[in-house]
Amino acid sequence: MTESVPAARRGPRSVVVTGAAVLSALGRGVPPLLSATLDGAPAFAPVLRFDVSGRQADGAATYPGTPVLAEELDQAVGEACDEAGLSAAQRAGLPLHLAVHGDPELARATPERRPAHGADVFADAVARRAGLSGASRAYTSACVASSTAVADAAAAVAHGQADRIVVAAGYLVEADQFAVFDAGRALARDGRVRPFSTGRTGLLLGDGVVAVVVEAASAARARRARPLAVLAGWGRAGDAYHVCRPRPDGTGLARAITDALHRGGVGPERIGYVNAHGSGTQVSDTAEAAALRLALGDHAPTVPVSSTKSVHGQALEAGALLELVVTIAALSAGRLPVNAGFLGPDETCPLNLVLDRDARPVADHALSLTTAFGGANTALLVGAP
Amino acid sequence: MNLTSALPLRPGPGPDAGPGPRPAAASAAALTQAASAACLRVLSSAQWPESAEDRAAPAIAGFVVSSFSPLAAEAARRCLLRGPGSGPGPAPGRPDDAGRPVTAVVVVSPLGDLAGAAHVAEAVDDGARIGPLLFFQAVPNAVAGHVAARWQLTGPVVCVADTATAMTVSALLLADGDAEEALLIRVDQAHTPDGPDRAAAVLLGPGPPPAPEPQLHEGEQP
Repeated sequence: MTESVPAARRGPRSVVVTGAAVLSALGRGVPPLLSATLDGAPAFAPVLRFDVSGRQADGAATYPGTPVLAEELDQAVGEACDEAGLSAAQRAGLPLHLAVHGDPELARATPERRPAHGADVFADAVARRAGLSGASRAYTSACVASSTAVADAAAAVAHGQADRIVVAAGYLVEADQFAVFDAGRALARDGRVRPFSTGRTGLLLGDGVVAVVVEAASAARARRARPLAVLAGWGRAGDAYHVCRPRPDGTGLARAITDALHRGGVGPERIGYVNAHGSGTQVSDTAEAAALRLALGDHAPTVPVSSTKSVHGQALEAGALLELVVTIAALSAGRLPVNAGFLGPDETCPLNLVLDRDARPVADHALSLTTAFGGANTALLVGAP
Repeated sequence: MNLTSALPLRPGPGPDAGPGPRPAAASAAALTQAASAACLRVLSSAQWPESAEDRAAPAIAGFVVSSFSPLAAEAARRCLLRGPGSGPGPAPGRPDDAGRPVTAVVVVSPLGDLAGAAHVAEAVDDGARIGPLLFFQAVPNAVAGHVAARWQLTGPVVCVADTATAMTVSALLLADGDAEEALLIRVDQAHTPDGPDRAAAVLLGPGPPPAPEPQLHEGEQP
């Protein structure tokens, strides 16, 4: 692996988040999601949305009923723009970055109709229905799709290529992905996600449909919008190691974290909380703990860490955005999400896990970390506005 | 109102919209044209197929059912072998111990692994067994990881659905120092039983210096 890592750079403008909307297994809106994560109250239950009788695992965190992804994305984008205080005219020119696995109808479309179900076409349709006529694009990079979409939006806004960009993401637990995760023996056999804990047996999927407005701080100020958070830094790097396993020494994720801190101009001592990727799988959690030790140095053993996947599950392409919103809400509330499902310490994960309710951030910035197949790693750094 | 220049828009008629046949989206010609439009330098390029002998992309261990990942890997292999620094010794302009430039892997596919997705959907609907290898190859990241590991590409891994976005993403990664080069791979699997599988790849480096950034933004004083 090369050591010639280029110095991360960024454009000159400050970047903020001015609106956020969420649908999760906990309900509609940020408050029920934040409340459950602060309480460490998991939302996992046997799946009722489709038949799981032939599967080895049956749990997931799902919103009741059978929500439709396109409709939920429309609602999330609208609500995020509402919260940001954007008029219809202000929305009209906005670009959309949409993170999705793809059009849910593609796999069962007739061959002739398949080109009409591309992820790019799907993103265009969401943008059109939301009244966003700027350029739309789709990100399909698995679990880092939405954090990559945020990083690209932040980078573009920082450079002045846009004043604001809507970033949206959606995954609703469905039979096909459930089946392949089950076939890969990736799903927790005991119905719980236990990040960084002894006895962890895997991940569980969860619903997430999320939208945020990423905006230049100056543009937000000019229209007197109140930011929810500063998007202070971002970083991404690859492992160059394996198709689906993380590099055990954590160096890829550590580079992403280091780049995010560098762009944010803050040191590890300014990190008051880490919302870890914490999938609850053996090798991934251990590699992530190694990455935190590399990137945060002497501060790694004391920085509070939890994985909110232990409550809302893994929302795949939407997961990183869901967790960014939780992280922002927790920072704003001045309380930290609990690492639920914890059975006992794992010596390969020597972290200061948040295990008690009412824990408080120890500094004014937080990291939201995500890793994905292909050795993709991202780190998003947020600060209080 | 956005007073800055808009982000680059998705395709529309590009430089290939003139008389004559439009190159396939997953071709070296189309990617080279798109790179030029995005002010990126093409260091090498390749595609599948390139000749009548290209009938099926070489299989990759661990990838089953679908041609998506083999197509991406073969286009990437050809492209990287033709690129600078592929021979013995360091790449031009790099010190002896610098290794390969930090290289992003950007995969473009509007439909993703279509054959794999259709296979899984059919198995789910029929109640058939699903092989464990389909777990990881359900996302385009998987072959990006294969290529990154094979060629030691340590930059970001990004998957998007259209070429213009991929070029914009690559340009920003290079401008912001996230990567020194970007390997952009486009895969278009046949969407009908008799259709052609196509893939292409370009290795991209920074183009000429960009124009000065706009100085006037909404909310800022002139």
